[in-house]
Amino acid sequence: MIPSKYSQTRRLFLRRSVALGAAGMAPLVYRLEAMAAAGAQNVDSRIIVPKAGQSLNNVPVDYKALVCLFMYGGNDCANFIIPYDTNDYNQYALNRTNLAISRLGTTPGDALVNNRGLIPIGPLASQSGRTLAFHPNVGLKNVTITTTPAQLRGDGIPWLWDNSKLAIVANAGPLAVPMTKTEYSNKSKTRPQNLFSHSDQQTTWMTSAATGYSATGVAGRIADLVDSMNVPPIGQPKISTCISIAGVNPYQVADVAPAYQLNSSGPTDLNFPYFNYTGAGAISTAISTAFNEQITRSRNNFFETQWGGMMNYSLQTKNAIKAALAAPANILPGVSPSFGFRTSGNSLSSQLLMVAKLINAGAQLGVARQIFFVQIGGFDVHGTEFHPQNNTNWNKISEAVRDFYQKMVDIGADQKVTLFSASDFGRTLDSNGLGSDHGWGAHHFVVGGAVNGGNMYGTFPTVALGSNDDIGRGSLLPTTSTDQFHATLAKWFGLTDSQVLSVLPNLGAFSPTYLDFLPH
Amino acid sequence: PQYVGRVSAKFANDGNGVRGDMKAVIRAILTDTEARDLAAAQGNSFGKLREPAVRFGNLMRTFHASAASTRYNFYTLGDPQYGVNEQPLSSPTVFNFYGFDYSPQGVVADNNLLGPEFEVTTSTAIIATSNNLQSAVINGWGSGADAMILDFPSVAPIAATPAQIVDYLNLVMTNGAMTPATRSQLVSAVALIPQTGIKWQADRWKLAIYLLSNSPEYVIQR
Repeated sequence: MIPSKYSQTRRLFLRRSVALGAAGMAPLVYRLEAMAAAGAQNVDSRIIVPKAGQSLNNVPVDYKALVCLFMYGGNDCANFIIPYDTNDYNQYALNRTNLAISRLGTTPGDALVNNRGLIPIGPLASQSGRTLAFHPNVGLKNVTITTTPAQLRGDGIPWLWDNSKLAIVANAGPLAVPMTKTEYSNKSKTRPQNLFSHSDQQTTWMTSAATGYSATGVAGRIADLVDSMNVPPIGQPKISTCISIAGVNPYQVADVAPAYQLNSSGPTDLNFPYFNYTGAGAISTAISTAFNEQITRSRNNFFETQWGGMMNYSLQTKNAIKAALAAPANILPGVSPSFGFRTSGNSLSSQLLMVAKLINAGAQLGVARQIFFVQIGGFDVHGTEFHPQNNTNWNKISEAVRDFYQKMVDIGADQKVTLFSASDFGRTLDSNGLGSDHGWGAHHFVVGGAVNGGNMYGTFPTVALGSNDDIGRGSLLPTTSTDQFHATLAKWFGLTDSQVLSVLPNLGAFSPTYLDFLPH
Repeated sequence: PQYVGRVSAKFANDGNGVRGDMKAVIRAILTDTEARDLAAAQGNSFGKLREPAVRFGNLMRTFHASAASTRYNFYTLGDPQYGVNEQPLSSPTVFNFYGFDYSPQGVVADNNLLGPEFEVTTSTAIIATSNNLQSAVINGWGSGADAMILDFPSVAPIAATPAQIVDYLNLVMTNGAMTPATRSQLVSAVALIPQTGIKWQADRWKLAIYLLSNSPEYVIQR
């Protein structure tokens, strides 16, 4: 787990003034109402009570969720999406040497994944009629010698593409300003800082701050704007906009709105010690009674009250989430314990299963806008692990997002939930002899019922060493910025144009403001 | 802030027109009313949250934790789920673990007070910290030869009298600030462990320390 590099919330005095354009987005004043309405000294002030005239059952019907799927290490996009037209493919194969994948392969059912043949997509009108292709291992996994090409693409990412639920954003990456290869080489335009550095580029993708320092992440800034839309039922704690199933991360750091972490088996439970003696039951009862009495006792000291209240609130949040997950009405359709997710050996799938459970419990938790974070690692394929690790990981991603999308359909949330991928960077086109090295621009995918899928957005590069897109060993100079990528997601999520600008202050440097993979 | 002001005034002039008299400064720090006055310490805005790494250190030192390897290995203290969300000497930025002017939403902010240490007390870390400190007390911190085990044998003789355990903890953990209600609560709980087997002394200590370490009376330093 990446250790936290950032505190959870920023200092209050730096809280920004936010432009609140949309009707129904109230400012964050629940603290004062809660204290007044609750009356008691020790009710944690984050336990919200509705304002006068607001109905408890008036949770907005227009629930929306973003799911960030982060691939740690830098995804090798050059083998994820490959040119299929003969000449382009030959150039690719020539430059990639030992990293290249067979275009036609022997059969789809070949035991060797790299011999199954590419999965073509296209011709793509948005890419001047080029035909591209997915790596075979995003397709059906359990192939036999009789597997047909149609069957190979009948699962995972290709299925989502064929059914217009998945879009690809080509050659995206951090940019301070649009720049040409010449402008990059002679430094006549500002380059993003700390390129090719894992930690810095992970942070840059999550904060969309190509230069300078940002203490908050994109999701955190969005959360500060929408957090008040999450109104819990009376007596229940407020649930965070930002929830991570994969630990603390810079993406979800806000000025004010706290993020919440749990793992794929649920929230962290409180562990009481157990003392094995005659009368152990009475000892355990005394422990839990004393623990709870301590944190709920009325105290004079403000700091004691604060800490006790926070522990109490955290336990209530944990309990509320556990109860919501366990409530019969919120159990996902499908067979327990995996509900149709192929979780065996696939931690990403388990994480997305938990996201699906939380979404399905949204009404009980009183949430309207949420941003989830999940992750999969192992993409930094410099060495001999290049083929086997990519094969394994792309299969895991493919099955996990397919199953997640299906579950969203099953619960009627497919139009309301959009999942998108991100990574540190793409990788070099050429080989270091064993694998590929750190790059820059990368191709990413967006999945959901609202997505204008089956299409590619942005500009797919010329895949050739020495091309205009190549700033060194085939590392791509991005033609779409992370600002535009995040902006498109944020606009769909419900922010106004000016709110999007406040979240992505550098967005004005790029055109178009929004890409077309989601309505705007 | 007035306390700081009085001390800095002493630095400027120790009363005899001398600037920078460190003895006078130290005397001012130690003898200021805010440092001595028990009534002041009862005030509702007096005190601060003991940061989790300090609580960890406090528990380890108070009970003379040591490892067979003679090392003090706590490099996972910074983990928000498996540690206490605060790794000594490893703050995430040059701005330390928390901002000097952080004020947590709630009664602290409502009363215009600052609580910097609350910035590392997230809704998830607060539970995990409790779990991990509990584990440190019950089982020690770390594993193998590096496992830091608390020295309960040396305090075992007191364990026959629960009140003596609790009074000792009041001295070394809460600096005398334990309320009577908490005292009787802990004494009753500890007394439930019978004097049977070979671990009962250590277990009585562990139970008392666990309960007190999760009380605002300990977590907040006054």
